[in-house]
Amino acid sequence: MLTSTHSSIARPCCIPRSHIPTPRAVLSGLGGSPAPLIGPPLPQNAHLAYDASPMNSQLFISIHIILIVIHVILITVAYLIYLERKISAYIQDRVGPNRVGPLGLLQPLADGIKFMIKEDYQPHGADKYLFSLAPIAIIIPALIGWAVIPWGGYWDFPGFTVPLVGWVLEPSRVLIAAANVNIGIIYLLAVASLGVYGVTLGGWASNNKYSFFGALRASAGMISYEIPLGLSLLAILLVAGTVHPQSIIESQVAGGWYIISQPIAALLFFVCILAEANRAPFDNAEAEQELVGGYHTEYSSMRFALFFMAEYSHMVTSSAFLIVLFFGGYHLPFIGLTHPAATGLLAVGAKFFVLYFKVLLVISFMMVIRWTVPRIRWDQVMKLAWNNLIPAGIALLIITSVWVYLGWTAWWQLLGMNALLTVLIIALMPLLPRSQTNRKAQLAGSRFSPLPGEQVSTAPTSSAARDDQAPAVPSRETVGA
Amino acid sequence: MPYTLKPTKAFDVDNESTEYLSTHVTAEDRWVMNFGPQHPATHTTLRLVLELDGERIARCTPHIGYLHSGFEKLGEHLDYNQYVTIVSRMNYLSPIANDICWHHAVETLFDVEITPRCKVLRTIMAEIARCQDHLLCTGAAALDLGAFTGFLYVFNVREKIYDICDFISGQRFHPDWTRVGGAMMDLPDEAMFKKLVKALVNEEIPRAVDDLEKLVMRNRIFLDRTVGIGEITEEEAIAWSLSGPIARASGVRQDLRKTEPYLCYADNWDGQGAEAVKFKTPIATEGDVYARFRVRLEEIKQSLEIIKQLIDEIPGGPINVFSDSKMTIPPKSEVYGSIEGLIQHFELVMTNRGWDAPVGEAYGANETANGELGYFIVADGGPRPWRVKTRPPSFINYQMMAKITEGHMLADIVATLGSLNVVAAELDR
Amino acid sequence: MLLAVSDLSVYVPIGILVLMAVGFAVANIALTLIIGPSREGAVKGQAYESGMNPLMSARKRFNVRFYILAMIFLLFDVEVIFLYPWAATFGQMSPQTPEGAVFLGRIMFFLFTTVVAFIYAYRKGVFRFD
Repeated sequence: MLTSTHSSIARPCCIPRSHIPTPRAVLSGLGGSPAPLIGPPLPQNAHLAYDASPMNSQLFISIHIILIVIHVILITVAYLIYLERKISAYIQDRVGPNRVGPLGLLQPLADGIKFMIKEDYQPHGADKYLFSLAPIAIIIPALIGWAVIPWGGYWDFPGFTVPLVGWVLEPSRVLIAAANVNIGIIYLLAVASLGVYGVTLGGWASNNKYSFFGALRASAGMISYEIPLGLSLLAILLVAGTVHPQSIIESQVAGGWYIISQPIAALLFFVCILAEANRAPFDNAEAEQELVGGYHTEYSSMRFALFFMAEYSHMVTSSAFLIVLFFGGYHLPFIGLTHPAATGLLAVGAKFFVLYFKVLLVISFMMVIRWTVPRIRWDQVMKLAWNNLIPAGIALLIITSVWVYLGWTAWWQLLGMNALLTVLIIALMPLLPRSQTNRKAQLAGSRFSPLPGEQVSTAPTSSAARDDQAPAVPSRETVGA
Repeated sequence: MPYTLKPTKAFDVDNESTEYLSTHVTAEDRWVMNFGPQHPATHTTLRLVLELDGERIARCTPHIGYLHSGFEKLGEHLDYNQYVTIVSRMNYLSPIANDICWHHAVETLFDVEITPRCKVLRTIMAEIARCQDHLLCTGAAALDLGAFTGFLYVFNVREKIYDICDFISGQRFHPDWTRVGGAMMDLPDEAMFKKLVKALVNEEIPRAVDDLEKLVMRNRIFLDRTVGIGEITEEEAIAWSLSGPIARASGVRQDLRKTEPYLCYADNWDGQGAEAVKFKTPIATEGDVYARFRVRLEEIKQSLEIIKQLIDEIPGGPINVFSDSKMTIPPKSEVYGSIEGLIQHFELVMTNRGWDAPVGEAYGANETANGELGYFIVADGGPRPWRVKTRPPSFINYQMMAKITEGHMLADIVATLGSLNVVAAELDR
Repeated sequence: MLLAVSDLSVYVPIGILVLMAVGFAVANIALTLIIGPSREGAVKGQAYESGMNPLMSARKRFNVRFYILAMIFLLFDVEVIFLYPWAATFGQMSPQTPEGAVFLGRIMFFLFTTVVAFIYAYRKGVFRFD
């Protein structure tokens, strides 16, 4: 059923062992000039090459990657909760979980069992179907977002015959990613946009005011931060000239990590992924001190756990993207095994662990931030996005495109551009109009902050506040879905 | 009205002066929401009924009565010593301050001058209680804004304060330490007490306060969340009869320790011309949440100064002014070891015995951490007061809640509530 | 790099992944429904509102501001999506060519309209978030 339209494209041959680069060669690759990679250049569109059998090598490997990585991610998510509690404990001069198993290492298991045996309750006023749909709607984008991340770069697949069915998988160069799609980064944006549905549906379906406020805050915040996220990505794509994550990593290996050449974009991206994952200091949607639990106030047992896991999976996915886009992905300088040209099995394993370790570092940093700073108020979060980050992102996009047109894309030229932009922003800052963030708004019906010329009355303005008697308890029949 | 294609203010609408959009909303479109009593940010059982316009608070109606325990009524059934167990329950942040204030009022009624040793110890404990209260309040100010870590840094030190309370009275949380004319007992070990207090004053509290200051004091997010929120002017503070750090953060120059000095805050407290303790009363003029936070932190530092002046100067002598044990319960060794002690104890503890109070009225007030805490006692001569009226600082301060939050956002409720440091047990006596 | 690919086999893993995610969620919820207890109650079914009876329904009209924000977001997000193909292609072009200048000029005009729209919305007070 899958017919190949790219049979004319030469399948890459195996790279001889002698072409694995020496550390010295990689060092030259990190320099300012885009030095050619050691070994034969990767053929154009190598990742698009497929043969006509129902199971080609890339598909075979992709399915195995899915099976491995989804388990790695689910276990990581469970242990991230443990890690978060340990990190917060160390920050706050406490011990943290230490009762279940050695060092409390079985705590995630105990939590999981506890979630499972709790009652899955649905309040009477809730919308029956949306209430059930919301946790599913939030976990799906969280679990599929990492599909395009190249965990281990290219691997020279030695060929394999699937037993029983007898499919012959020819030796070829495959990408260690769940899906080797050429839209790459755009897939990330699409999936990230889907995450807002679960939060909004969950908050609205609960028929709870705190949940509704949480849902509104989350939806407004998440959609607002998608724009600076997209703008910061554009600054990278202009320099890299591709949306394929593996190619972005290769261009970083050749021309220096983008954290050096595009630090402003990295900062924008990091702030945005914090906001997208509803992490502190942008955790307004579930602000405990204001909204009790936010959008998941009414959720219990496994449905609540799905919300919880979605947050942490978002952290894993977004941190992995931060690493891929700005910190060289699986590449470590001076270590030949992590160079994209190294395609052996050992190299793939090393790359996977390097990427995984970098992701854990970023997540730990996010956790340290969470336990250090206070929470930004909702309107300040929105103002930060619309009044600060988006103008900065647009300015960065414009200036980067001019630089790319002029061909100034070496890392020091781009760094100079960033410095120039920073100076410009600092110079323009005092000239911009300042808004009074903490002003008191004048409202109709307020006793102490009324509209000008309004007759102030001390009686409650709303009949709901006036009637302090307990209303009849709604039953499932009368409220309905 | 004919429709004009060219509106008067077409493009150039000013961001700040544009009319607030939802003023067109009628009152019935407002959201009405309970905030409390079972809410993480109300610390205890407070209830606010909020009418919300978007996230703005159009009207805030505080309700009290969710922690009613009949404290004042109990005062008519317990004698002057027993009631100290009730007053300490009115304030779970710094109970010992309430103990000291209650017996200050009773001693005003009895017209008793307590011994210098007792004065010094009570002053030290009152200042420790002030630190205890402010540490929780400033930490909770950070907690309410989402900074959990700062809260725990200062909350740790409160454990050391509990240790001291435990050491002097045998109870961690509610010491019930004072008695009419003195204290329940003298220090078990004066050197040990000095060591504990010095460790607290010289190392633990300064370190915790320093940590908290570094964490939030100049944090941009913290400033954005607190500066300009819940502003109270000096005139309003006086008009609403606020007291304590909340009034002083608005620029009111009022501190009972200075204006009506008592204990060691007064000159000649030992009867031999001793000078009053030296300290400064911090005043801020902004009157917002941030100013209250700063005033509280500064008061902690001034309290430490007071304790440092007194801790090496604890005079000797008896702690109880009534040396004839007609009014003081004898030590347990005497009660169980001698018939005189047992009779003495029996006389004092039996409900139809005990000593008689003078007939009269008295008001005694202390500057506690939250403001002026006063007890008005009407005595009809028996062993129990006829009526006890409490002037709790939180109850008076809480009145401002509606005024200073209306027009702000939902999230500012928690910041304001934390800065007022409302103790619900004081609201419903 | 944005070549049209008629070979859709690369999307098969994503389909498998979606199925696995759905299966994971549904299985977990089904499992807890089976294992967990289930008791009903009139008061238990109430929405949580700090332990009091809810003062009104949460299904009520809300401030129009969120609507405006959603519209502005749509505008900007669509514009950003338009920029992606351009950015990927423009990054591959050799520098300082006349075609590049045309490419740049067109997108600068596009961005200029965006900036004008942004300033307009700002002056209208859309980004005040009261």
